[in-house]
Amino acid sequence: MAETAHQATHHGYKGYVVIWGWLLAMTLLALGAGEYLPTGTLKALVLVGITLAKVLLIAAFFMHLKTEKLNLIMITFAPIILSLIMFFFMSPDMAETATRAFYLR
Amino acid sequence: MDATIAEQQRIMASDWGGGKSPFGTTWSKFMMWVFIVSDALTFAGFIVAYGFMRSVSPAWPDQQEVFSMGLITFMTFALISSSAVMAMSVGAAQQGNQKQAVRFLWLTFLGGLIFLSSQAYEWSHFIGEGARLNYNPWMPDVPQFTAVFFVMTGFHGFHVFTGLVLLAYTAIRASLGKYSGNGVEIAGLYWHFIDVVWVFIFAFFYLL
Repeated sequence: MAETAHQATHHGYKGYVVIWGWLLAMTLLALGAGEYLPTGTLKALVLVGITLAKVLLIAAFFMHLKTEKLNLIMITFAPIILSLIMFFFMSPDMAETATRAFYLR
Repeated sequence: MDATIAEQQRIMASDWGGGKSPFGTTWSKFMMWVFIVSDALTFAGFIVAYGFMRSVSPAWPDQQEVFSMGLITFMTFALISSSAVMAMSVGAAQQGNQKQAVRFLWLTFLGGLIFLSSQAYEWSHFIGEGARLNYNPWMPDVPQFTAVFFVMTGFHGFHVFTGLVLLAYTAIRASLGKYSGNGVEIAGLYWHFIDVVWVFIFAFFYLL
């Protein structure tokens, strides 16, 4: 019985180590994108994509959201959705402020 | 009548059904999730405010020139590694392996301490260069840059500090025999959340 628990623990660790490796690899990928891609939409999309992939891995495997009930999973994603709404609601203000700053130069 | 009871049971068993444990978790773990979601909203406000300031600023300093990216990458590796070790600690706790769980908790603590020390070094270097909350020595017309840096990394650093206190508290209690697998899992949730926030800050503030 103890041996089974020991084996199960090692099996569990292996999964965490694989996710750890992926997270480190994606960090290096993001670093490369930050350094070599020119500032613009492509760079922003690549970095947002890598960031969301990392967050999903941490949430699903490290925080065990993968095994939680659907209602709890949906609650945890509320901040990301709300921040997107907040960002796009502010975009007219951003455009107006940038335009005013341009003409006041 | 039987059909009504069957329908009620079907609803109760569904994800949105409620019942005694609508989220299928302990109350303490659920309260940690509620805290994490509310704290995430605070950080979301910071990140959106940063996005606003960044998009209306006529220019923005080149992060590759201002920051030591080697140090930032090292800090990121330390925090991600500590998060992975924390997951192993929770795994050990779930298997009932108390000794291993405590060992991993202290390793997680070490990773967090390395991160926080590196951040203290980065801050002291930054302040030494003349950076202040309202003054940006690299581009004086854009004081928002240093304001965002100090507020976002400072708020995150404070979370790392409280996380270290929580980890030490959990590990010491476990060492004294007051071990709770649930306590390890809750400390783990908080620590992973700190890692998630840093993933956003690393990408959006240091790389974008």
